[in-house]
Amino acid sequence: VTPPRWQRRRARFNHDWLKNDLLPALTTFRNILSGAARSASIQAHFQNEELAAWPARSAEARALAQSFTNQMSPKSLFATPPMNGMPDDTRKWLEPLVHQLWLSRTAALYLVDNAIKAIDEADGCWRRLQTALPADGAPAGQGALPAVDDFLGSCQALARSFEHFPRTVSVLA
Amino acid sequence: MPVTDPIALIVCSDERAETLARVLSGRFQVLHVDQQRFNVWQNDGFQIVSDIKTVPAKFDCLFFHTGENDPKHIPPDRSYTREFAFSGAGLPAGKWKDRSTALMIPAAFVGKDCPIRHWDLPGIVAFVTGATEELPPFCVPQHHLYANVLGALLQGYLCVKASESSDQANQLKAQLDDCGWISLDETLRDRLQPELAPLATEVGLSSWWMRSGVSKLVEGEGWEVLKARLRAELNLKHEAPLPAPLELLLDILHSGGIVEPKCAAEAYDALASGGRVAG
Repeated sequence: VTPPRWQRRRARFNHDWLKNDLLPALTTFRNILSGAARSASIQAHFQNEELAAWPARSAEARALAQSFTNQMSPKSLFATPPMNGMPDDTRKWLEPLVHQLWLSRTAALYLVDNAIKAIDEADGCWRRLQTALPADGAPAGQGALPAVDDFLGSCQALARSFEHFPRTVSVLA
Repeated sequence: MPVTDPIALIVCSDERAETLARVLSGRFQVLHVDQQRFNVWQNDGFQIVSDIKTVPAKFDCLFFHTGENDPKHIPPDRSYTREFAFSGAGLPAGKWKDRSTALMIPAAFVGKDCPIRHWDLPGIVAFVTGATEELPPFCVPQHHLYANVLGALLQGYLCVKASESSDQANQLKAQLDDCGWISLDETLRDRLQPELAPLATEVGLSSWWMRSGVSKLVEGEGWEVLKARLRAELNLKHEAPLPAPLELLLDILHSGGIVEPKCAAEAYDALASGGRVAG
């Protein structure tokens, strides 16, 4: 009943990549820029490789958020036993009704909107960070710190927005 | 032992081996191991395998009970494509000791109340044969199947009755509010009402509930098992009875009676207050 696919996609994006890959790397990058740590190779790798992955990851996050109301709606119950055996004349009205009731009484649409806004904000911060970094790939200086902090904050907010999505499909939630 | 179906091995020293074998035999050739002796499921019972050479070296899946030293009897000289672990209390997500690839079955397996149902079989076959990576539903925690099915049917019933007359809608106001009907976009509700109102008689009939999903919940297992599973989903203690309105609704469906709005409203309240699943 719980479509594991959406939950797996969320876990891959939010837990595996955003929280356990990008955010630690971004924090390290910030420490290097502020002088608290030093590693030219890590700095170069982050600036030129990890940050470059953002547009593709942002698109993944957007698709994930936009698919939430379709994949985690209780209408998905009608695709699995025992409700997939329901006569068509009942299914044709009950499935959309259960979906609309779910949208009406839960925060599903708000959560999607909230996540999309967080993605938009992170996209904007990423673009500003790109302009704050040397165009030739040379090591950035402390002048880039405010843009790094903004991007870091927006990524943390994005991670929180994805944590708020429910983990189960339920008619009664 | 001519085999065309996928092969399952069960390692469990109590009656649950037979309960599980009975379910799995719908799509699997089922073997059982009992202190190094192999048995095969035939004619609704386990028969001793007389020639050990006929026991395959590779099984498509292994189902083992994690307690009472049962795992010690898992034959180490055989291989298993997929492994499933079960227990009387249900198992939390994670790894089970040295069998790190085993999938934990979160629902309790007590007596004849098997968390794997006949309709799970195609999904298990697809999973163990590699046709899909999708976990069978019984491996997914918080699987409130029974509450969800009844909840969906109750919501449908309530909205149909509310569409039939404004008096009914007023009487059911609390439940309609809870399920989202009142806060539904007014244009959408106005569009739905003429479609739903003519169904008012039909949704009161037990036969509508049965063919819409309830008969499959009962199939092969009976009403008491359905009630026991619903109790478990509502997190009621083992001895605690099902809330009376739900008991009444199920008894009406069992006896082929008519479901009245008051009965449905009270059953919905009981389900929604007890079975609300946190996000």
